[in-house]
Amino acid sequence: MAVLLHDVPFFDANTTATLVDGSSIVVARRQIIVWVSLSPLGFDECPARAHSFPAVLDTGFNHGLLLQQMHFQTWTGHDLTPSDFRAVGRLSVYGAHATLHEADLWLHPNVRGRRDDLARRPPFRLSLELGAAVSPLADKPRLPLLGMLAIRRNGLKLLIDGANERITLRT
Amino acid sequence: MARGTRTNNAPPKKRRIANAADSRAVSGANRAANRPTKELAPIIRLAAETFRHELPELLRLRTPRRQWVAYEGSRRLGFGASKHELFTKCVQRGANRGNLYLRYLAPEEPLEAEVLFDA
Repeated sequence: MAVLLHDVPFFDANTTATLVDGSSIVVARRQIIVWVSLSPLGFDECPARAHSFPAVLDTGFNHGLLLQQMHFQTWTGHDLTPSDFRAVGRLSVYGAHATLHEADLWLHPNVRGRRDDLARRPPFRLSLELGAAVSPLADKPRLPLLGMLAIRRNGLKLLIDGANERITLRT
Repeated sequence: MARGTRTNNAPPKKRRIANAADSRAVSGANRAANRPTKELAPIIRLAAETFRHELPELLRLRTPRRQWVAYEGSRRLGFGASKHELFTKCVQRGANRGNLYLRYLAPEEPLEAEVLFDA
């Protein structure tokens, strides 16, 4: 058993998180933020040019990963090209079709008790059953969503400690 | 530690098991073909159809070492315990990485996602 996320805090007030490019995003109160990267399939380790970006760990989202095309193009460090991220399916979401792009997801361990400070450990690969879904809408989801299918298919254990405003995620 | 950045001590290995064009080094001739597309390649459609057709049989074959299955068009290439292991094995055996279609062996569910609240 490995602890992937250790006492990641969430907050009763809106907060901000700073992206790799220095810009910041608003995290709504009580949203659980995790830091992830995307890569094409086939890497033994998370490639250096894969930027880390925040995703909301959303137990109300019943698929794997959903993000805007803008998130993909500007946050991940990759271009959404067919040679690296081929389309492998479609997903109905928000009443329209999202395209599923084959990809690996990498979850960055945190420094215990710190939400946005990443530990000096390699990120952990999460297999996405059908890849990453690129939203059909330009403005939704506001932040990338990491959903229950990713938890389910990778056999992870999620503990939400409401009393102490912390979450822990284990293999 | 760092904010939102990758902070491993050792520089990450960039080993990649396939020879696909790097997305930042696409030749001019390939550039147009490498634009983002929502279209599914015919070989991916064929693989998906074949997977759906064979899924009842595949579920009976499922074991801890056979949790993922790979297709190239209508051809079933093999099984693996993990998606990465299976992808690597198929590419090392000469499969075209752009044609590979990998699926987890589970009863197929509707391709619908629900987002309950999106603040």
